[in-house]
Amino acid sequence: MRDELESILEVDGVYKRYARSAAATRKQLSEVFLCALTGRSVERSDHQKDEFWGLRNINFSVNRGQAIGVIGFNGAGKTSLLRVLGGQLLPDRGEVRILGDSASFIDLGAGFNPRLSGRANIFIKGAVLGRSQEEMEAVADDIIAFAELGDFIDAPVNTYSSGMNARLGFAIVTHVDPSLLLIDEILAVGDFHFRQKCLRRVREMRQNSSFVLVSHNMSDVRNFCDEAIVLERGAIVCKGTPEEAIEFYQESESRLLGANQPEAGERFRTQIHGHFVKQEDLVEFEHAYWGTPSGEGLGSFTIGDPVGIHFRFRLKYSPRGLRIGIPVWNQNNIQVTAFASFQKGAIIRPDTDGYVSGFLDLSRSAFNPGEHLAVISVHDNKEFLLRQPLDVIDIQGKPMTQYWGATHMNHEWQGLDFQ
Amino acid sequence: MPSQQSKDRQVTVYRSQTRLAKTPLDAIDELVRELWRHRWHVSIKYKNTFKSRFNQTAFGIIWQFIEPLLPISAYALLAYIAVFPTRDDMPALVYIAIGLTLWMLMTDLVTRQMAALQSNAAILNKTRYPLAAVLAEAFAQSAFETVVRILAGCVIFGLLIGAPPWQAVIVLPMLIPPLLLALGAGMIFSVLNSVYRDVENIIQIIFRYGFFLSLTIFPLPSHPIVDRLLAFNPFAVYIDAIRNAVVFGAPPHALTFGIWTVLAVAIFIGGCNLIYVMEPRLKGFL
Repeated sequence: MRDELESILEVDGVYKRYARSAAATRKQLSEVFLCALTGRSVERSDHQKDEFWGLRNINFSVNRGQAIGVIGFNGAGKTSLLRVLGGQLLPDRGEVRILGDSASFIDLGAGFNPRLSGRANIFIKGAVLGRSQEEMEAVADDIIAFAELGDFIDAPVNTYSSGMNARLGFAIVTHVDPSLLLIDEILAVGDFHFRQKCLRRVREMRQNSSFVLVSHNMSDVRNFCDEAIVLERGAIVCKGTPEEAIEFYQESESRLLGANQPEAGERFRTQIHGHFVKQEDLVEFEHAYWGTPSGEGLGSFTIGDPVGIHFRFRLKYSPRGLRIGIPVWNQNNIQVTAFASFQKGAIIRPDTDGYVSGFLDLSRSAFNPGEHLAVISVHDNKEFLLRQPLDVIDIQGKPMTQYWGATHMNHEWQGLDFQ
Repeated sequence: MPSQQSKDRQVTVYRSQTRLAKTPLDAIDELVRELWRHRWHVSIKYKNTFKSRFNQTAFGIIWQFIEPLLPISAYALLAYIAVFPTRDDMPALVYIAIGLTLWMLMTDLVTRQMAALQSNAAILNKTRYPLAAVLAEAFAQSAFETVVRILAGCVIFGLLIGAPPWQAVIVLPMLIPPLLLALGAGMIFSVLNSVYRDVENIIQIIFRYGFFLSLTIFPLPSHPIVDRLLAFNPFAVYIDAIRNAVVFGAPPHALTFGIWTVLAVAIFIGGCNLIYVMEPRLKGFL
């Protein structure tokens, strides 16, 4: 039986030096070359004028089944750390010890031969991950079934969409059962259904594998990781529970951005809900609010009340594919649902003055009680014209009724004898 | 093949000293193991490259057989119209076929390895696909072209001379030193070219001039200085010795061939050790 406290990954005093210029890079490489020729040590404790430490004194460990999140600003050293853990870069000082083998989600398509079929690439990618032909033959059918590529599995990979590529890559990497998985922001593979499947697969893998997850999505770090570290200029500045690390990161962000920047909480909300945009040269936004069908604005309502979202804006040009989407999140930052005009299969036509106004009737919706945030998103084909949050709505439950989860379904118990 | 359980117990360590403490023989052993582990991968990549190289052309795969023979036919034509001197004791076509086959085998091995390292930079940087496998793919193409040239050479030899003397079997062990030299030099120059990008150009210049000073397509006049220069040119030493062995069954000049054999082995071991040590360090620089 496996020891759950067994350490799968130990990172001990790792430093990685980088060059700032092409000349310094050449100098570094010459130095390494001479060391390789003479067999002398390449380690040095300093860095020269044109160099800097990309990683400084990194120490942490991950036990079997544990997941550690790595957060930090751009350039903090997160990807360098993943590359060192994956053996793609050697540390300049310190060492990384991995019990078993590692696989990386850093670039799922890396190692594919685009001219070969998906089926052949299962073996090619397997070889890149250090697996033999026989080992890959044993899991090839499972990979094909998981990737859901159907007959495309025998088509060349260069005919695949990026989503199909990622699905095949994900299926291969997760079926080689590595001890350590290195993930860089890519739990969002494919459509919603496939993403759920990926998350389920990753959850199953937690029995045997450990994870290092680099992410800017604090929700992923909070939900997925047991511990988290914050990197700043190549060094660990905070190590603790995901909540502690996220709080530290947001405080650092506030300090760094200064008082004129939006509140940390607001920025955090942006990370969950996406960026808000308003292209004022293209669209004039009048309003979007929760209200009754007659147009009366609401700050709260009780489940079952007639309610919906009113919106109005004016376009300053003739759009080719105007669509509206309204995603909704609950107070736990879980996206409850989204309403999309294009599910009706048609694009919206503004009136002769360019105005678009309407009402999204949500009287029969299945929200559970709690505060909810809706965002109105107007786009012309793929270009966002407007993406703005509505005021938070407080949804009240019906008296004497209990609610679980994020939504409730219309249902009826049948065949039971209730007292 | 290691089982899943033994893989789970294996400890992988990455540190700055990784691979530096290993001996050259350890390096060769590890490279051979890596190649064996990736043999299927190398073969399928090679087969795919082989098939796809001319897949938009009318003659298709036939070009794979025509291309390696073009230099021999071109230089044979030049020899026929007496553009350069020939040897009296063997037909010019035989002289050229043997010389070019050996020259192109050795130089292709060097230049293809350099090119392979550069063209596979992405896969080497982003994955753990071994450098040895990338170099082996380059070797496979050179090997195929050499086989085509040898087969053509056999036909030419049979038509113009007849059966070779039985002593010509000595050619088989004699081919090993030039192969080792070219493989070793290719590995060293590939790594060196990643550090100093001028290396590829310098090698091209050396090969352009070396072609005419290596007894490849015509003999050089006998002169003490020329003879001494040729003794310092491994291409000339190997080409001349192997050609004489094939045509006359003559053994090589023991001292010169012996020295170059020792040097070839040393260069091969040095090359293997260098790519083994440099492989993890080149990632990120390629």
